[in-house]
Amino acid sequence: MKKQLADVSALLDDELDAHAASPIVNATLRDGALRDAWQTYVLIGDQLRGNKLTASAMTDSVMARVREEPVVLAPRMLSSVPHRHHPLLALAASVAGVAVVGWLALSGAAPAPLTEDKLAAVAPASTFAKLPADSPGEKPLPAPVVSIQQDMKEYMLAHQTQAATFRLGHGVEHVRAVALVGKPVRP
Amino acid sequence: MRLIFGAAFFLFAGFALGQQASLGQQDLVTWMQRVAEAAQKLSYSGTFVYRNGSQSETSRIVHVASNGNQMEKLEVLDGSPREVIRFNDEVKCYLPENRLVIIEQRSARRSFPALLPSSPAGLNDHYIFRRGGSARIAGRETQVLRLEPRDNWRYGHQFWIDGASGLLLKAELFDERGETLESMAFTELRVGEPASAEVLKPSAAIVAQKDAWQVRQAKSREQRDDARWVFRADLPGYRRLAAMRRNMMRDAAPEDEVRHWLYSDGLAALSVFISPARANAEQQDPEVQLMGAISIARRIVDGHQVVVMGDVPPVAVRRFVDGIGMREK
Repeated sequence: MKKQLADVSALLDDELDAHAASPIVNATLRDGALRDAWQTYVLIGDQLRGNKLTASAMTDSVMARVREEPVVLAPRMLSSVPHRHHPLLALAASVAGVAVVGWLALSGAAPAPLTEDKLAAVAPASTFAKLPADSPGEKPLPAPVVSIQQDMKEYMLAHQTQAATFRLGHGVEHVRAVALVGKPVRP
Repeated sequence: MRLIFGAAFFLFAGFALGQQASLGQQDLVTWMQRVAEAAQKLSYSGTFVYRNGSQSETSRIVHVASNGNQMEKLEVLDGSPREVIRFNDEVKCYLPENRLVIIEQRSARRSFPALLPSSPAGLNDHYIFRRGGSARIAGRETQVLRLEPRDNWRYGHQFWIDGASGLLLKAELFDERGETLESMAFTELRVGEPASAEVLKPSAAIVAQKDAWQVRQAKSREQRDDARWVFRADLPGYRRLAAMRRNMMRDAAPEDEVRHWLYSDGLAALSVFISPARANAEQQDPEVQLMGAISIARRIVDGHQVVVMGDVPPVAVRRFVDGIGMREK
């Protein structure tokens, strides 16, 4: 055990080569005592380096930011200046997110399951934007349709047929209509 | 450590590739013109996958362009054997499960590229165009174009355009969070190969159906503006393209014809249908539903059912349907 603890310490200090690191990582994943040691060494390392953001603090701060984040409930006119939207930045953020989650799991400091009240606090009130301010009243959430009425099928086909005239894919566009009108009919 | 380097690499790559070139209006029109012409003038056949949320369907399409005519057959290969056969402006949709053939006649006179010059700044006001990199779809090199909405009244589009033929090989519709709502992508495509007239007929599975089919011919004729109806909602960028009367219901009397208006911003389309409501229909709050990427809103107005649908966010159809009313006599 003492050697394994020393190995964990060496691993965190980046003193092991890849060949030697693999069995230690596997042992750490299996053994609760080694995971505790890993977490302790990480905390010690953070303190020595002056990092005050521990795993739990990070989780709490992220959750706090989520709670504070305003929910956009109305369509917004964006700035006339084209905004930069970087899809690959989102991918990079995802990768970084996966790295953080992986680190938390490996260190045994994964966030505790959300309690009911916490869940309520962070869950978005609505998946969809609410109506603009000049529309009347509170509106119910749209629900995905599992069956449609016959007249809706015909409306759908009429809409798609007319709209396809100026679509780019032409015939391919009809697949939307037949895919949707293929759903069961509601009386 | 590798993870950190990996994340850093992706961050750098994401930043570098994120600097996609913004396109001007003329660039976009040129690209779209090429795509629309290729779809009209080339003969092609292929298989493509349509994805809508967690559902997907594979379909086969054959398109023949000959002597100024266009013939096309779309056959859904999964589930019930639905087919769409088009000859120029006439579209027949075979729905075997309902024993129903719906015959539609296209009425809009102009095709997509022709729409643009009348509103040269229109699209640019409502979308940001970006030219992405190249990508390989169905074994062919494509150019990626992305149109991001400037507001929440429309969805975003991303197109993958075949460099060799100009055909649209993949299209995605995404919402304001960048999440894909639906996509269509070829998995296999042959361009320019001759197709016989036989492949454009209804398939044997449909012809073999012994039971009587109900044929619904939705004749439509263009109508002048119907002065009885008022459209107060003004969605930025959407303008009226067509106004029609349709006898969609069987044995419909002239007064029961469905009124149909088509609106578009050049990419997104929105239809308004107004028909006499059932006798027991009551005035009610608008109901909004989603059918894939199609949002549908309906309400009863003065004894009429008003339906607004389109590949637009729910908030857009709701806003539109709220603004429709009958003029006081």
